[in-house]
Amino acid sequence: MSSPGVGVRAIDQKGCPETVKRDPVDVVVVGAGLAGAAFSWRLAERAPKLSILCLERGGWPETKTMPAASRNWQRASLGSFATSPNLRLQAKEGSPSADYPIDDSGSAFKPLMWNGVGGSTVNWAAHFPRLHPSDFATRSLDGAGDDWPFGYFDLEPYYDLNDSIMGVSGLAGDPAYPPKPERAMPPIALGRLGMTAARGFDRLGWHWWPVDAAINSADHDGRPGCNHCGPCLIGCISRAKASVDATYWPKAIARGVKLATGAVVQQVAIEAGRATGVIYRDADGREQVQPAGIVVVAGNGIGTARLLLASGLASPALGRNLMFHPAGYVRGMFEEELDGPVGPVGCAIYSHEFYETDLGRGFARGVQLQVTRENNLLQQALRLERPWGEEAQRRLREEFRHSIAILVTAEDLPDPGNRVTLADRTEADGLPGARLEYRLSARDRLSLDFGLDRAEEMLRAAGARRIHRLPLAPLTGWHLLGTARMGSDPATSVVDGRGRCHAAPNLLVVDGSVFPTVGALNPGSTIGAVALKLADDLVREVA
Amino acid sequence: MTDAFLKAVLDTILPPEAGMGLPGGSAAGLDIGRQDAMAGPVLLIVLAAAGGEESFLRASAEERRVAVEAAERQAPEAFRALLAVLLPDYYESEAVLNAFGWRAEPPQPQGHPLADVDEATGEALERVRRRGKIWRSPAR
Repeated sequence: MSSPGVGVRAIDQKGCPETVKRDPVDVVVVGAGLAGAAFSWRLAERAPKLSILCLERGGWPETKTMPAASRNWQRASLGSFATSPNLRLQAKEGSPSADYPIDDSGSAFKPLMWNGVGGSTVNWAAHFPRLHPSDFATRSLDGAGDDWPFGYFDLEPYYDLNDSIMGVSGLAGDPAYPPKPERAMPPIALGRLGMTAARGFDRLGWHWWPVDAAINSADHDGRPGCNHCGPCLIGCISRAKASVDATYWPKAIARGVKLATGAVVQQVAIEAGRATGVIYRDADGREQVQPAGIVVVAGNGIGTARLLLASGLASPALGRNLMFHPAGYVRGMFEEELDGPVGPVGCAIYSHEFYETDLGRGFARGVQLQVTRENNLLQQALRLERPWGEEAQRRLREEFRHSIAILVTAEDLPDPGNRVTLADRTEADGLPGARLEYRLSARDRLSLDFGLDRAEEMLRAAGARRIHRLPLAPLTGWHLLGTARMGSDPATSVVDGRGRCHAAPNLLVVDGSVFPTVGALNPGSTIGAVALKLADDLVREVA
Repeated sequence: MTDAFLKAVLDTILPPEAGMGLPGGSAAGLDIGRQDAMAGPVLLIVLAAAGGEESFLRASAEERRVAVEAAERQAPEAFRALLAVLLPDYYESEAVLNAFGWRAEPPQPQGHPLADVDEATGEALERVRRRGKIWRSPAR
């Protein structure tokens, strides 16, 4: 079933004299981010006799390298700890993230991620909402997108399990969701900013709720409570924010999972419709051949597609249906002093008032309004259209510590034209370059504009004296989803409902790439839950 | 180019604001003359647009701004690169942070206080809770 192309080799061919062939393992997992960590831990727990090896291209995050205790922390957020791998690669001082360049010139949104143990949970905002039940059945309910092979209630126990491992602060009782268990910790403090936004929602009679955050609001599971330092996106020195290097990985390693860092997988070897292992470059640059009974890929929606395309996996939908979530901002400026860049940046309150379909709006599916906290002073300045001169400083004085930004995320529906492809060049990591093509559809624009209008309405109700709208926010490409989607038809999907590739059933994909649709909100909670479920599915097969 | 000219250009890009105690770029300790590669093309355009150093120094704030705008327009990449160097130094300086009501110390290890939910917000949340279910039930 595979279709080896140039550079694609079978595993028993020796690439060069220094190639080392390692002893076989039962399962090799590629990528130590949220999905790879959750999957490895669960598999080790449920099937302790399996030998499991995880290969991670980057290293362990080290809090001593994180800049939040440095006076230069603001500029680090634009350089070595920028959210964009392309920006980090330009940083003169280098970055601890093991990045590869991504040609995003053809994409409306710029991809954001972290490459290393923990994956993007190292520099995420840790906003941890679940998808809604309707998100799993958009075709049946609304004639849009596709249904998932399983539903919310099939995934619910895994959401609960994932919550328990990650540690969630929040408040049960949100009427936008089926009942959830009591959260492990109370919500993150709302601050003046959150309460001001709540006032706006309340005046309009709209839904709002404190977010579920994968951040400790109190000491929990050996990690401290958050001290509201602010810049979650440059790594969490205190470890109050859950990242899987501190949650899943210690537990997985205690269960016997081996984790190798600096291991850049070059190829999944596929012969006669079966994966036979992987070929990787180790931290010393030597080529290693790792035979495995089962290969599991968890490299996010770009990294997974890149590797599998480079491996010659014959699957017409591979790399297609890339989904980010169309996003824009509305910022309201207030007379009263708010908090400034204090508290977890993405974790205050949200509104799902407009989350479910109302065809009277002119489009199917919905939007999320997420109240975000302020950026640091330097980022606020650079965000201005012209960040110099008296007018810039006047604007900055008006905004800093006096503004609330509402991030509007709209549901992104699958479109085969939005995709990851391979570039002609080979990058320094030995793999072909990744190139993105992603355009907003007219429906995306309509839904985003609807959400921006509602955000503006809310901010005015909350008392904003001036509004600034950013119709499209390119640097919000955190959610890398859909490029190896689940489904039953090999022509339109890459994996089945158990994460098994149609073209090679012992090759699994377990990350956000498998999402057939993505709702309108942050995927981390669902990525973890799906990975746990797919691990259980595999256990049932191999047991 | 004289120090006076260099400081005047810098303070046009990052002007002081006496009312809030905000220093200009030069008083914040920045030196545009150190940024040769990026500043060179920008400064030459400013010079030409203003009609020379003396003319720039005699010019009003508005006239100086127009001269710097000429550089922004004619050498956009160099101008952006110059800002990318100047702005981090400026907005990380203690005097500037303090003028904006912020502290110079980094976020950690102290963190920041953050207000918890007040009574009015708690009552508003209760109103949301009482609305009851707003999620849609798919067929199970």
